[in-house]
Amino acid sequence: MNPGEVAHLLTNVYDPELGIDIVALGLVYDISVGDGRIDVLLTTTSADCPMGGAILEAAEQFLRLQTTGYEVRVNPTFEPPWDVSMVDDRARAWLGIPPRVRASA
Amino acid sequence: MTARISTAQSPPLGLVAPFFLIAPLGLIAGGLLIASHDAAAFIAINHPHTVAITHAVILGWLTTTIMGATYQLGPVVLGGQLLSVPLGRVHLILHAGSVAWFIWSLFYWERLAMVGAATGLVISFLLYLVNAGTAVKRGNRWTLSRAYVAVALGFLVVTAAFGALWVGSHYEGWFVITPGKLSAHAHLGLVGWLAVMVMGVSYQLVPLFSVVNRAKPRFGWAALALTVGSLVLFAAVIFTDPPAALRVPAAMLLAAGPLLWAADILRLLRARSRRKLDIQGRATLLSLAFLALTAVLGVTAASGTPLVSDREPARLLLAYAAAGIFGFAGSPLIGNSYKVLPFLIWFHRYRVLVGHSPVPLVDDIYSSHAAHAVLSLHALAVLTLIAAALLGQLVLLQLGGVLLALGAAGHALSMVHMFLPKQASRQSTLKQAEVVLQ
Repeated sequence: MNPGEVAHLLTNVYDPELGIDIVALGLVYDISVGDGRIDVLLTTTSADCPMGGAILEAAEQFLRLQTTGYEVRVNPTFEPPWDVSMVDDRARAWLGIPPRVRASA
Repeated sequence: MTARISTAQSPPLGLVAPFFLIAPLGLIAGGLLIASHDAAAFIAINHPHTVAITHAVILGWLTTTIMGATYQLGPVVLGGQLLSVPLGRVHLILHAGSVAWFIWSLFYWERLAMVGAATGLVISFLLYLVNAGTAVKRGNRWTLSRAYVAVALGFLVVTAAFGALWVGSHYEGWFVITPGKLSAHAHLGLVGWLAVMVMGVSYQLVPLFSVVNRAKPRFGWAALALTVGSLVLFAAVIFTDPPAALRVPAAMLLAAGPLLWAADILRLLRARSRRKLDIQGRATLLSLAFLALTAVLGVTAASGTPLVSDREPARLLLAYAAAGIFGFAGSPLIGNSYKVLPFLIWFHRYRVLVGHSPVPLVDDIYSSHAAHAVLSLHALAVLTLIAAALLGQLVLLQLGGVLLALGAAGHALSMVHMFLPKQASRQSTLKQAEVVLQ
């Protein structure tokens, strides 16, 4: 298992209020895999988000169920604070904001 | 790192939900009482029928909703545990029974029953204050919302004390309840309890649900100080039944705090990342529009003759009350209901299923179309009531009452529907067997 596979799994965990998966929202700050352990650093859209704890638990529960043999730890962080610039284009479309302007080659 | 996103403190669904399910009955009762009102509605604001309607709506609908919401807000958002969940259940039973009895006693102007029902209400308020006050006191940190909620709880005490004194005076004849004294009680409740609570909660919910990260509240503390200061001054002035020369500046000053808050909320909404407003955002905007109308109508009503009709002096006050109570305070409570209750249902029913099976999202739990229909019908009812009061049209007033009751019934049904089992709409249908990775 590698961080990319863990990130793929986490696309199945949603912010239940916004209806967007936590990877597209840019809530997953870091994933490390090694020595039978998966560590995920996760934030929420607001430090006061009442769904924050639920999202954290959901991510941890989901990874535990889907990754047999790994010890899973999902830790919260608010540094740096989440910002809308962190969301991908799928999430931007859902939020109703224009896609990023990409520099032409 | 922080412990602020703990889930351990969420209150039981069985404590909060009954408040939300019972509350629309107060609005249905208020709407039906308006529909059965006669032309006396335009003549005296203290007519027993009108006083019964006011208390059905404020105590039965708005206060019951707010009480349920604070039982959730305290532990989940402010981070403080309630004193006791069973006490909250006892409080609801006493509150609902006392409100129903009080409305009946006001409608028939049964003074002894008024005393009994008011006593029940005061005890229920005390139970609520002990429980919700403990959660506010135990909160993690002094946020803007926590300060507003604490101030609102304080004004609930003051309003209830004035109300109990007025009821006692009606029974014992201690002093005459003049329009000014009645107005002081009404504004302490409407502004101090309802408006301050709505304003404070919006500072929490608007940034949260509209995803506002790039702007912070700028006038929150100033709006609170201005609202509290001007309300105390207004109540002291209006208590003495002053002339228009004093009433008008006091009314203008009273409007300043909530209008400053409105400007701040508009600024936050403009900076939102969630560009498509949902039901909560639209209800907030509707509330702001009704606040502006309330301010204009309130200042106009304070000016007296010639703007106020001598023959039907209650018309402008009725329009003002309809805009303020149903529009400004009522609209966001409808919008917020579609956040508070679905959140609790999701949290208690579906959270544990994540990873085992696709789970519904919060907006799968309620019908967005039904929620918007309810809000639109409510707005139409409020506008009808305001127009009826300004034009002095009784049939239009009664129609407004019918629309109000219909909207409330739709709202109640919509909330009951939330409890039916729901399917995931956007969640991935990932099959567990295919993704068990080693």
